[in-house]
Amino acid sequence: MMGRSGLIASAIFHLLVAALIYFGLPSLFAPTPPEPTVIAIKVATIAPETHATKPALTPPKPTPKPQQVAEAEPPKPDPPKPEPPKPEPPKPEPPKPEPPQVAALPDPPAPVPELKPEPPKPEPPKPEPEPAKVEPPAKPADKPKPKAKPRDDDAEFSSFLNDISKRTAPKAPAPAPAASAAAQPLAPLGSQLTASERDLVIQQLEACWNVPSGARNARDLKPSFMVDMNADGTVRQVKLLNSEQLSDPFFQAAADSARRALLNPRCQPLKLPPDKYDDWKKFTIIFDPKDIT
Amino acid sequence: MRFPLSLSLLALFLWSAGAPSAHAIEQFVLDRGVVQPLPIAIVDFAGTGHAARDIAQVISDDLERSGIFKPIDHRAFIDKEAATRTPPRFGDWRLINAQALVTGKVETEADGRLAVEFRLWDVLAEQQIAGLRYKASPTNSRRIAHIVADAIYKRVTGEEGYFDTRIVYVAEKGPPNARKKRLAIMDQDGYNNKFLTDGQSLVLTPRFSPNSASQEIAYLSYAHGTPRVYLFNIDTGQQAVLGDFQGMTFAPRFAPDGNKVIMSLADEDGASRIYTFDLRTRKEVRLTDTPAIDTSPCYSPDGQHIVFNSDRGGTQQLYTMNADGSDVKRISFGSGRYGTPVWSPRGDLIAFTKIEGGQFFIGVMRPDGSGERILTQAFLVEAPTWSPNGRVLMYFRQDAPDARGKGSTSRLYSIDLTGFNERGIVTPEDASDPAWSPLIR
Repeated sequence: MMGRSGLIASAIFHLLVAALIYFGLPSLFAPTPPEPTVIAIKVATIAPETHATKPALTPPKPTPKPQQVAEAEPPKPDPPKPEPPKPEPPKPEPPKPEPPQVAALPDPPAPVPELKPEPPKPEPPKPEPEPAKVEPPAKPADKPKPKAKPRDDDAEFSSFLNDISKRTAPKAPAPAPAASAAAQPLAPLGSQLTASERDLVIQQLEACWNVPSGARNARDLKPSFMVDMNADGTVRQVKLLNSEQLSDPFFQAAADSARRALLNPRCQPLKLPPDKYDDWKKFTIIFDPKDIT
Repeated sequence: MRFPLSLSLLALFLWSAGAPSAHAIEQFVLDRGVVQPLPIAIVDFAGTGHAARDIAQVISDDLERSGIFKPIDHRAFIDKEAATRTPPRFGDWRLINAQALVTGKVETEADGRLAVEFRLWDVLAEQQIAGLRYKASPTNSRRIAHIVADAIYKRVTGEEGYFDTRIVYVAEKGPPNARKKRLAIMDQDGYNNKFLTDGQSLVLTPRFSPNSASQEIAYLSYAHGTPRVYLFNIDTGQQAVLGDFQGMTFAPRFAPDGNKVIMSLADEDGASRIYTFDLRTRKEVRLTDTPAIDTSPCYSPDGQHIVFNSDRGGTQQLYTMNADGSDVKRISFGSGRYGTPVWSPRGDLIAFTKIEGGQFFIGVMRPDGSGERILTQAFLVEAPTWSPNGRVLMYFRQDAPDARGKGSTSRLYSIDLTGFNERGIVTPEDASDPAWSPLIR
């Protein structure tokens, strides 16, 4: 009896082993590959509207005069922010404004030596550092690791730099949207949004991201954020994920610029599908200027 | 039976571990954007007197001229009391599309000094991102404004500013056959112009000492007949010839530590060789020795290398060498002639003048000669000089004279490293050969 049940158990075991060999071991941690049909079909149907057009490069124009009010953003009611009401500072006393938002701010620069009262010589004024009034820097959360992409040729580096010697020989105009189809972001594996839905968001934010062009090593500054969204497509909160780099003033400037893009009311609400709110109520975003600085 | 049971448990575990996670967080990568000036609102500072308004105006002008900021017209401001409101009403500033806001106040201390305080606010993030207080004599209100503008520039761009700096240049006046050339100095925005020499002798190529405390300028003067390199002390007005060279010395530039001057010496054989002169030991060292014309030497910011132009290869081209004169390499290979190379304070670029087809060009290239990019061109553009942060170039431009040989003016211009935002600088007379000072400390 024992021999027979052992035989059966052995047969079952061998069958299982054979099945595992044939079908393969299920991945323990990696998510199963997404069902390709969903993404492929959606892209195909919505594709005509999904070209992520490269925005026209608008170099800083010499603007000798400030812009008039009329050109400013027409007054719109602010997008409703479900943030808790900000506590008014207890006193209007200037030295200590307690800004309600999260941020990581650097200490003021070291004071400059006191002025000497010598009339002809311009004296260095003495700055007295303000008492620090800033909130502690946000704690670094999980560091999203931007994909290590091969560094492109330097030709790409100069895409935002002017070279008047190239004006005489008009080259092909700025890459046409169609030509950049290959560069269009694809919906990554595991994404619940279609490529077209992702494109739309990226296109919206591109218009509000003022790239730190001309800055030293700008292409290496890649701030990434965790973004909490409201159901109406407005941004509720942004949190810098690689805040440990804030001691670098260049990174700090790049992070501020990226944050402004996320918070700019001109680029909200983000055009995300309301029925997929669960999929985008929280997302991460990396600002990677490697090709545009 | 124990064996199959444990086996099924194992299978269950394997399958459950392999199941897809409930929800993956979406990740976006943004690799495109725009380059536009940052809309910034700069309110008149609180306080009595002209200083409050003037300081805000100087800050606004500095930031606007950089091309990186776009100050918003005061008439658009909704919150008229913003200078005294802390924190500001951010919603009011968002409505007029301001992304940054500068508020501040000016007070007069008991000892008569001005106390100037400013705050820089990120309107969209609704937080203060910089705030400092300065004290200085009322006569220095413009300098305080420049220092505040530098602080704002640095906080927004990450780079040191360049507004609290001065320009020394050659002021020119009179007809071409009797041109009077004087050394002059002014703030980088053209204010506080002052003439340093009387115009009795022709002067050329002034260069600031990198040591701002020393307040020294090296320049070429034709005083006493022979063109020679002189040192001029801005504070005392004293001038002294540099070294005891037999021939004509020219094209001086300070070493980054300020202790040496590198320049050319025209020898009797018609060649020009590059020498250094140590200001402490008074000793000179010859670095090049060819029968060619080697001139316009300039140190890299780390002092390890030198770039210069030479016609040793048949045409005037750019070369680099080690600080001791070894390892000479040609770096310019484009068409035309190259001259007046200037190493960027950042170290990443070399600015140069190029002459080709009867036109002058100013461009930049990397220290290995790659990535040449032309920024501007004209009948005559010459003498590029870098802002201390390596972000802006200044140079002079001369227009072509008309058919009667008149109408040729010479003016100073600045242009951003990116090749945009070219601006003229107003000077009381014609101007040439600008040299940018380090930040005044």
